[in-house]
Amino acid sequence: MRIVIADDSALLREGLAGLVQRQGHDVVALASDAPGLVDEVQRLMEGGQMPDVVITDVRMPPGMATDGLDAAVRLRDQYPHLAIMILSQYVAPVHAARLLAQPGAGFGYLLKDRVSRVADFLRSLTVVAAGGVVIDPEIAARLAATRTGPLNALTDREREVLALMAEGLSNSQISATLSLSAGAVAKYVAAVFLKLGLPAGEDNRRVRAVLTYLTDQDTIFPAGT
Amino acid sequence: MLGGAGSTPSASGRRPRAYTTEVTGPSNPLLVLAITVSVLAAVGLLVLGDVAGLLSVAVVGLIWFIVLRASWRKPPAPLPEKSYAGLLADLARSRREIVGAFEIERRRIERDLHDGAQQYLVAAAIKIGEAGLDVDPASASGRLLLAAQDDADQALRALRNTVHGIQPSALLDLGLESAVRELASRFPGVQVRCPHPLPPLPQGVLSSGYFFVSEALTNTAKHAPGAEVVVLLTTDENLRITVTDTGPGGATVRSGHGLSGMRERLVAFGGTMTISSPPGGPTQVLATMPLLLGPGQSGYLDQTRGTPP
Repeated sequence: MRIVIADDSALLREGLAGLVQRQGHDVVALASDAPGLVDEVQRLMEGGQMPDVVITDVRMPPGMATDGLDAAVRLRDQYPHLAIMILSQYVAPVHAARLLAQPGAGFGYLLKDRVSRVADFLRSLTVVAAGGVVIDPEIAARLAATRTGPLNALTDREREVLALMAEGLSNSQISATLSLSAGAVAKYVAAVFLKLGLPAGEDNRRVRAVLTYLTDQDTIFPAGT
Repeated sequence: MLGGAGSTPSASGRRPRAYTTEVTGPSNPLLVLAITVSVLAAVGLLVLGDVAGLLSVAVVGLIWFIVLRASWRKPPAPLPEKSYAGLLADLARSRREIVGAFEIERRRIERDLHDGAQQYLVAAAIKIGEAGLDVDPASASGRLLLAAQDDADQALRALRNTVHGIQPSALLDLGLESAVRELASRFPGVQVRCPHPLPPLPQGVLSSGYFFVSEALTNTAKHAPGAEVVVLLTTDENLRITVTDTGPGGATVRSGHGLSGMRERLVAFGGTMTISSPPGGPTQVLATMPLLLGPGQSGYLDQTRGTPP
């Protein structure tokens, strides 16, 4: 994979770059602030060299607030096919909802600590680069407690399955995690799609189901906040 | 800090006129009358040679003199209205400065933990994780690496909780309403209502408001599990937060418990906390925090002018 990495901490930027390079990936650009990230990606795009995935920190200079996320949203507006992995020091569903509200390519939102589970992190990167959605387990765990909106109709087991889908797990990985047969998982997944009103012909129903979950969180975070 | 001229007593060499009690001549007519009568009586008695009478008149005269001399002091002139307004503005400003300094310090600690300790821990955890890729997880080294990774995860979680307790990052990035909604999403059955957009709030009000909701929701989850909870956020010249639950009621604020500490924190900068909890419920906890507005500032956000940064 061809990867862009943006983080204002040199320690983490270089650490992350070293990690993915040793796993056989190419780091095509590094940035230490939000404007730098936008510049680097635009430079690559203009040269016809779209990166497979952009990894960026949320909090970066110049504002030290959500500058990295804002830059990602802007890039996604400009290049809808750009896959983006957001790393954050804390999780806020509203951050994830902002990027997911834009239709487009793969997207991931993980706590920074997850990178240390190297095998899982690399798998998440692959899922995102391939157009999938990966949401941090901490957000996904809150799914189980959610009792409002369209998710109200789901059973506990169906919610659990949806939470794992939000983490980017495939049906077979879900069946291994929950010790269920492949048939049972397929049945729960189908029930989730049905209850969330996602018809069989719809493209990317998996991503849409996760989006429904996060939009449900969005009722907790009304648009504009 | 350099104050303006006249901000210290020594600058003008004398105390401000408003604080002095003026002493004038014996202008009180009662006093003049008493002295005159006493002197005449004393002269008369002296002429008559009545020493006892003379003494008693002298004593009575002295008592009159003392009583009237006391009443003759004018009461201090009331402070002009303008000075009271000035004093209040000074108080509000110094409170803003104190609360502001406290919050700047919290923010500095939060930054130091985020940008210092946390970065090193994450970097170390990544290296441990990468080293683990090449090692058989069942071997002694593999087990040690996994254990080290678990320890690093624990340390990061503890650090994140500490940082959150000092200054929730979401609060700074998203503002009070969103941070409260994010907080409420961790508790089942909690609705947040904020009928009007909140104005920009001073840092101290932001974090006190946030921690009040956090304490109130923790309490509700403990004492009224399963109840419906509504958090209402409004502002006038105060930020007003009510947390109402449909629980069994009968709640009191016990000293040493979460809400009593919260009340002390609010009172420290002019806020209040009241609780209403009749047996059978509902329970309502109301906190008010002065916005410590400057002259001419309004607690109402004028939407036609858009949200200030």
